[in-house]
Amino acid sequence: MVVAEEADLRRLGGFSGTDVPEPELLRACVHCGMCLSSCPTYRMTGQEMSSPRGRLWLMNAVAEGRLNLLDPVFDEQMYQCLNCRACEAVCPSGVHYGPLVEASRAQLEQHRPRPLWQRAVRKVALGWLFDDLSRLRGVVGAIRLYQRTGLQTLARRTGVLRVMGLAEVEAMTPHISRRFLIPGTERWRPQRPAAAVQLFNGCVMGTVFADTNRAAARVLAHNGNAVDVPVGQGCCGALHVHSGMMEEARRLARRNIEAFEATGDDPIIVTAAGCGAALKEYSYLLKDDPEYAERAKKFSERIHDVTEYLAKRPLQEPPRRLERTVTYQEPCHLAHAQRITEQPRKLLKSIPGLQLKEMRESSLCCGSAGIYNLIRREMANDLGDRKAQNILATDAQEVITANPGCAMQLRACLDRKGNRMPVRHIVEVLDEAYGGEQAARRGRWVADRAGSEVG
Amino acid sequence: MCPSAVVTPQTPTEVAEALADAAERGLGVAPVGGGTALALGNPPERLDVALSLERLTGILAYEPTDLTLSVAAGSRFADVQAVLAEHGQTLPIDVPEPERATIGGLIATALAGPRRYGLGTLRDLLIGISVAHPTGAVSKAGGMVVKNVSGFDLMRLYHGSLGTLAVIVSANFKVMPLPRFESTIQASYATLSGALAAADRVRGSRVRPAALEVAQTDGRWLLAARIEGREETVRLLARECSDLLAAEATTLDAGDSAAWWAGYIKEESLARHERGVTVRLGTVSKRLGEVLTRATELATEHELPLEAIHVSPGLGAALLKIGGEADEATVARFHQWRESLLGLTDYLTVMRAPVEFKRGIDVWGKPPATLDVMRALKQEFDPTRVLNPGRFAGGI
Amino acid sequence: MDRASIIERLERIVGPGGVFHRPADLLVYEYDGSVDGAVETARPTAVVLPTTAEQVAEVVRLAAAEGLPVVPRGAGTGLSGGAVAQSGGIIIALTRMNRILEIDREDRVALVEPGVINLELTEAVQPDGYFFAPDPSSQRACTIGGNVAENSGGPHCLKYGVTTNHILGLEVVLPDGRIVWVGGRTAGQPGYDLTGALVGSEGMLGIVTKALVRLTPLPEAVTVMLADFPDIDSASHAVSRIIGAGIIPAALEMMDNLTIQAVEPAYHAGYPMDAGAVLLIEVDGIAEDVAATAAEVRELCIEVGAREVRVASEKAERELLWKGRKMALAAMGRLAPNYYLHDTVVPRTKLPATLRRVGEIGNEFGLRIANVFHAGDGNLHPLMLFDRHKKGDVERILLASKELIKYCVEVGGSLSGEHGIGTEKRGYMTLVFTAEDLAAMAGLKNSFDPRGLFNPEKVFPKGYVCGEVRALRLQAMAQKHGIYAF
Repeated sequence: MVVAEEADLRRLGGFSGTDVPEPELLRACVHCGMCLSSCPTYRMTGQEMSSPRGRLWLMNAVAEGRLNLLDPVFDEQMYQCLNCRACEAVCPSGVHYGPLVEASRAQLEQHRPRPLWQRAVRKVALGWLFDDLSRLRGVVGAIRLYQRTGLQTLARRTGVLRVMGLAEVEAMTPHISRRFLIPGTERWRPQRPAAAVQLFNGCVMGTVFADTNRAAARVLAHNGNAVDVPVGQGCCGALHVHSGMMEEARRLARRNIEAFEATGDDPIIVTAAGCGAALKEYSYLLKDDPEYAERAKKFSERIHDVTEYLAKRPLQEPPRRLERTVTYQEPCHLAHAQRITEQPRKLLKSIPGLQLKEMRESSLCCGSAGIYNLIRREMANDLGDRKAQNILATDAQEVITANPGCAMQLRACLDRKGNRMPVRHIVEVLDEAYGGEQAARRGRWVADRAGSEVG
Repeated sequence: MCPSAVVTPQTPTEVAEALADAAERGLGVAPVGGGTALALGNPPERLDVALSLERLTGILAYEPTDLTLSVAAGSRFADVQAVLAEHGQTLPIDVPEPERATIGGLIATALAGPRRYGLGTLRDLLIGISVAHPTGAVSKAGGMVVKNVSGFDLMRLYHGSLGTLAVIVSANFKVMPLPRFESTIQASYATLSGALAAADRVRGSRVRPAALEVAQTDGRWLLAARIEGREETVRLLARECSDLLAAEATTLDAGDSAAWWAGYIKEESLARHERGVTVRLGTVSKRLGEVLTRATELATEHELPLEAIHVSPGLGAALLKIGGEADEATVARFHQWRESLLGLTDYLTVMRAPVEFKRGIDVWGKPPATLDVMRALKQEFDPTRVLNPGRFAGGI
Repeated sequence: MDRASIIERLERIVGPGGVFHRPADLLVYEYDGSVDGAVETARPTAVVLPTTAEQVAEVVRLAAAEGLPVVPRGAGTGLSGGAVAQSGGIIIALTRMNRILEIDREDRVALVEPGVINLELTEAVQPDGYFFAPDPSSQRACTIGGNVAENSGGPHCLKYGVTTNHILGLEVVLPDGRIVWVGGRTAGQPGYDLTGALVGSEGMLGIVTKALVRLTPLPEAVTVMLADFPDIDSASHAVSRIIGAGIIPAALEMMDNLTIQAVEPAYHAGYPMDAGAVLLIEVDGIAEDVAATAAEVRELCIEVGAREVRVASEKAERELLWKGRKMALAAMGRLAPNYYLHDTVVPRTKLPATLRRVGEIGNEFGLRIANVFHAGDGNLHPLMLFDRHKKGDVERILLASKELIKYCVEVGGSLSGEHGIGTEKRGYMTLVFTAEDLAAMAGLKNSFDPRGLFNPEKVFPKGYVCGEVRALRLQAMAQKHGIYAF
């Protein structure tokens, strides 16, 4: 008979410093386990520590001094989490899981010694690059050049990417929009404006997916909204929050709040579910900042996902029929973090001719999760493969989503299965039904380069 | 085999005391209820005492509003049903000899008739039980509520254990409302496969009869479906059922329906016919036709007259009655027939037969795969093998 | 063998990714879904996540050789502490054995591994027109293996029966490490009903590695009614009248005023805020019959004093009415940091008196207690609100629980309707069962697991050792009895 050894759980005295997981929020979990089946990492592993309940228990254990903050299991689990928030949507006790895992990561960032090179990479990748979007545009521009000049074909053929271990990252790089959307340089005006909205441009959306943002603007204009892209805005900071880099995130948040305060009370429209969720949580991020707490709250109240905003009122009947079957992949940060599930479906169903065929597990994370798929490829690929299987089982011709990360991940996992089915943002499909760019010429609404006021 | 003594205790404690006494003296005891299933099982290794439960009778508790009933094990099924009927309630099982069969015997033997298909068996209605042990103790399990997970489910363990673990002294049931109306749809087919195909259509439909049987009569195969419920609904479903049968169908309503089934069920009695052998066989539903065809072919080959066949298509089961005398040649042919069917069926039980037929075989067929677990149970509950020693499956 | 060697052996059986033994990993296996305070947490020596029955058997054999306890675990949503390793040992978590192996539409059965999630089995067979009937409220997370161990129920068990009515056969690893099948596709096989004995045995007799389950055809039509009563008594009366009239609804649920006060503002299901109690009644079956039955139920409710009966037959409307019931725990959970969900059963006729007593207990102990439960089968779920971090709250809850359980037993009820005994209620077993009753149950346990290594410290009262029972029984046998007159 072996007696269980007394665990050597060093007492460290729990969390300390800034961004401590809030005890009140932690206590709300009564470990009923209702979250388990919703959690992608639990579904893949079947192990309790990889479940929301398990992770909350670990956080509690650290808080109570029963577990070392720097225990490798704690570190592993806090970062294995996709922060998809699916658990929140099903929690009977209303536990706010997202802020807790983010705070736990912030704790690890503060107290964990990281190798110098890792710190440097993080500083450059998340700090320097996203701090000033002109830098990001430069980098994305270079990748675009790579895609267009034939270098890509060459690199893919020679296998140099595989040697460099970049094949998967490269495969995920989407086709980049020809022209970036630069705040303050474009705007859209319907002939009879009923409302004015401000577009949140974002970092990846405004560069890689600039055309998607333009499609969103056209759809909004088609439905009577004057659309502007205010200057001064930048990256939303979601990636920083997810990585526990709270101070960087707060700096970006303050900048965005200031940029949009200049535009009054207009609704702020977001085309990326991940950004939308982060922007809606500025109120939480800055709650302890005396100068910004109130302003952040106001700002967060103005945030609308584009599908949320469009579905609020009756939609102009699209003139074109789209005879095809599509399936819808729910972005976690739309379905779970923002609880927006009906609106995208409603919009899709309003397109004449379009058939929506639901896939299995449409709300299970595809594995993208911000930059998760870059740093935890195995789990991300497993989830992506599972997702691709569910997509293909529907026999749909297109898969629709509402977040850039998901779009890239879906593209990569479908490619791995040798499938070229289009992956599209919901506003692109709506835009197509409204006639796309050509519709402008028919005089329904007007887009212009900044400066001249038209219509 | 004849017991040398008959005991007729009046209370559960007396039952237990009698058992303890027998245990001490190394006697073999056969619990007896109405005596309608004495034919069931292997001849016991020892039979010294017949323990009759006939004096343990009566309703112990009945709360019609709760639909719960507690009854002493020796109570006759018909008497219990009469009390329930006063309140429009019933234990919806089919009993061939309701005036004789007792509640305890019905639980111990787990014999179930045609309505097992739609309504289940006593297993599904048992909510509590009291038994007497060879230790002299009386114990209970379950309770008087319709949903209960307190403690192990010994009700199901005792159900169908043929009095080899303990002697049932009383039982609690959830009872059911009497169906408001019933109809029986019948149609006759030239072949078994024709009748089974029709049964399949009914099984796949929304009719969901309480009983669905196919029986051989006068060289043809009669299908009968018993539908219970609200009158309008029953009539509607009866029409739909008729349409599914693809043959000329007749409908019996209310009392006519019940009377027809009473006659049918009576034929399944193990106490009625004095000669011949009754066999019950089972397989998965989809193989039933094939197995029965082979069974009849083999019966012809072995010159065994099949006098009656009752088929329960939805249960994958059939009851076969074989005629003939108990002469050596017939017994040998019967054993050959049985032997060749054992491999084709999931079980083949000789339910009733003159003792000559039972010699040299286990009437329960192949020993259960988990016989050692069952033996361990027997060892725990009846270590000195007082209760029906050797009578049950695998010689338990 | 020392601990390290055992871990190594386990890793050889299930692979290194299937064994957990670091202290931090074991931390998350010290609980299940039970309430803090009512069930002690305890840490296992190791946790293994096998993928085949053979692996389970090998682990069990190793544990047997080493004399280590074995505790089977599914999703760990149980509410009686069944999956907590009270005396350490090896937890065998079956979550990686989660395949649906076969769906046989013709015979209406499915063969599944124990880790399959209850709701996902239903979702898999729904397109073919079937469902798996047991629907515990944890069905989105709990596993079939766990349902078998606890004999789980749910709202629709009133008509369709509990888990045991839907299990046809099981592949089981016995405490000696053998893999055996009990039951099967063909009902009525000779021998003891081991399937029946195993269902609800709380992991103390064997570990299920496959289950052959019955699939139930989806009803053709469903109607849901919400009946608004001025008080609990009239609602209880309605329950008795409906059942007494020979109507067996698919579900018959009651919610009291405190529950409504919590649910309605949060979910807007349309529950009347001033109702003393509401009944949620679902009838299903063939379309023509459902309409008639619903009309009859409505009449009965009005007769005994319902102020209004809303009838919903459209899916969206039905779902809205159910939403309030299904989210009731969530809504209550937001009123207080913790709640203790009870699970006693009383005869239906005792419902009004019992609910009055629940109210009194609430007053005596200064507790808020809400009632939302399966009225149709008398299965109460009093929900006691508390804060485990508040000094004395846990103690008060436990005292109040004791009063409640005692009362339910006094009026002829039972300790648990669907949650199981586990460690949570083992102390109450002697309220209902005598030493003889427990001895018979111990007989079942001994015949499967004479060494008592499978899920020890469950069901039987503390200090009750099954081996001792055997001695007691032999002693009893040795006692002289007077000769009974032949």
